[in-house]
This record gives sequence, structure tokens and C-alpha cells, in this order.
Amino acid sequence: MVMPDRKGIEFILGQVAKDNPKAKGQTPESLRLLDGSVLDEIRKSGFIDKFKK
Amino acid sequence: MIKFVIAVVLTAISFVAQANAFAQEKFRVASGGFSTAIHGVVWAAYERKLFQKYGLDGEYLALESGTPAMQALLANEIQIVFTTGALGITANLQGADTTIIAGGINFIPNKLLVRPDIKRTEDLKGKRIAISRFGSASDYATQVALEKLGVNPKDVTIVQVGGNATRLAALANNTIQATLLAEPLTTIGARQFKLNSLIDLAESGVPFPQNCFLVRRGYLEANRAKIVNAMKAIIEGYFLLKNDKGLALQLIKNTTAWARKTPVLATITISPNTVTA
Repeated sequence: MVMPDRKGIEFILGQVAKDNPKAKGQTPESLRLLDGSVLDEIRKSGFIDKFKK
Repeated sequence: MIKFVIAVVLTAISFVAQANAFAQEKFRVASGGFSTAIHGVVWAAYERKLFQKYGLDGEYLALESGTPAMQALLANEIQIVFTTGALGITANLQGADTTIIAGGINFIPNKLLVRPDIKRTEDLKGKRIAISRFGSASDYATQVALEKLGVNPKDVTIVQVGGNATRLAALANNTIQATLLAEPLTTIGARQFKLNSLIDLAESGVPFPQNCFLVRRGYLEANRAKIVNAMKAIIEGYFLLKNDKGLALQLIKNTTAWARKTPVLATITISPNTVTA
């Protein structure tokens, strides 16, 4: 389980911007599209490691 | 019975409540466009009752495309949607508060399948190419495919047909002449209907948020523990599949067969106990 590649988000933003001016200049951060905190919390708890053993 | 604010609801099945001491309310996880193998991680979590294991009264809904799934997420009918990240982008551009908390595939796992008589890129001229809906992953990925193939979009007709199984059926009966599909439907299309592939976008190198777990930020802030526990269930589902090939194959086989029997359904829920392992 990984976070999406931000380049992928930027690619879609570029495609959307062709028809939607609202997308121009937007970033994953400006749209608050990525939140890795849930995965980070799960990883730090050791939950994933127990399945890898 | 779950009500969705969508245009067509043909089937909605109530699931038997499986509340435990910790569960207070339904926690719904949905696939938006479900008939591809990557959704197995959620099928496994549901079928093996892992949401219940982590204290959630979990329900799983298999929706044929991501758009109605996003509508249900924004209406608080669903708590997590597994679909393309593109829908989160377009939703947030309109003021929604969705966010991606995890992803599954960062490339386009689709092939452009075409009718048997289409052998070359030039043969696509004047043909009908199906997508799920405008703004969907299949829409953006089709744009990529046409660009990579050097096809002018004006030389083809893009039509909204529906989800993967519906598009395969439409391609098989020549209602459309091309569409993007992922496994296992690409193999089914090639073997059963002699469909050709003009391009494999997995080899295109285009980064793409194909499958993402989306939530509303407002829900995440108010119910963080539930989201964390749901993702634990899904992660455990992933490892179940990784370590039990038989389970993985059975889930894919059952769900794909079931989806293809009901290709016209715009919205469907997966029946419980589809796995007998």
C-alpha cells in the first residue's frame, strides 16, 4: 500500500486544465489532495511489519 | 436498504448487520468501478469479515463506476471509496473536501481493446471508443492512448457507456469498436471474442492515480480511528491475497463472472458470501 505518485495527480490536473480553467495553477497541496498520515500511523504502529514476517 | 443519489439504481441489497460490541453504525466501503483485480484487496477484507475484526460494522458496495461512488461519498453515504484519484481532483476543484489516504496502482493498467477487424491504428478512424463517464479514469486514460497512438480525437467518437463489464459487452456485440480494459477482462476479451489490443498503457510510463482510497477530510478529522481501522482491514486483506493465491483467484473469478452476468446494472451491491473457501 503506497501513496499515489504526485506526478500522476499533476498529470491529471494538466489534462483537466485543458477544459477547466479552475485547474490551472493548482497543485496537490493547494487542493489538499494527499494525506499520508493514515498510512504513516499504521506503519509506525508496526501493523504492517507483522504481516511481513 | 441503502439509498443513493444517483440516476439509476437497479439493485440494492441490504446486508445482514454484523454488529459487535464496538460497532455503533454502518461503515461503508465502496469500489467505484469494481471488476478489475486490484479491487481484490477490498473484496478480501469484506469476505473475511476483517472490517468486523477491527471494530467496524462494515459493508462493501461494488459500484460500476467511480462517479456515483464519489456522489455517495460526498453525501456521507459511504466512508471510503476505492476509485481513480482523478475524481478527487475534479470534486475538489468544485469545492469538495476529499483527500487520498492511500493508493494502489500508480500507472494505467489498461489495454486498448478493439474489434477483431481493427488491425492498425489507422483503422480506428470513424470508430466509436467507449469510456465509463467523462472525467473518469477511462476518460483520461483514453486521451493518453489516443495521444500515444497519434490519433486525432476528432477522428473518433468518444461515447459514455459505463463500467468495465458493460464496455466489454458493448465491444463484443460491436456497439462500440474500442475501449480500455484491465485484467481479467482483457484476457477474457482476447480469448472469448478475439479482440485485438492496439496499445498497453502499462508500458506507457505515464504516472496515473489509477486506484486510490478517498475519504472526506471532514469525516477523517472527526472519525480518524475508524478510517485507520478500515485501512488496517484492507491492508490485512492485501496480505491475505498475497499469501493465498487460491483465495485471490476465487475472488477474481466469482466477482468477474457475477459482474458479467449483470453488465447493464448501473449500480449494484455485491452479494455476501460469494466466496466459499
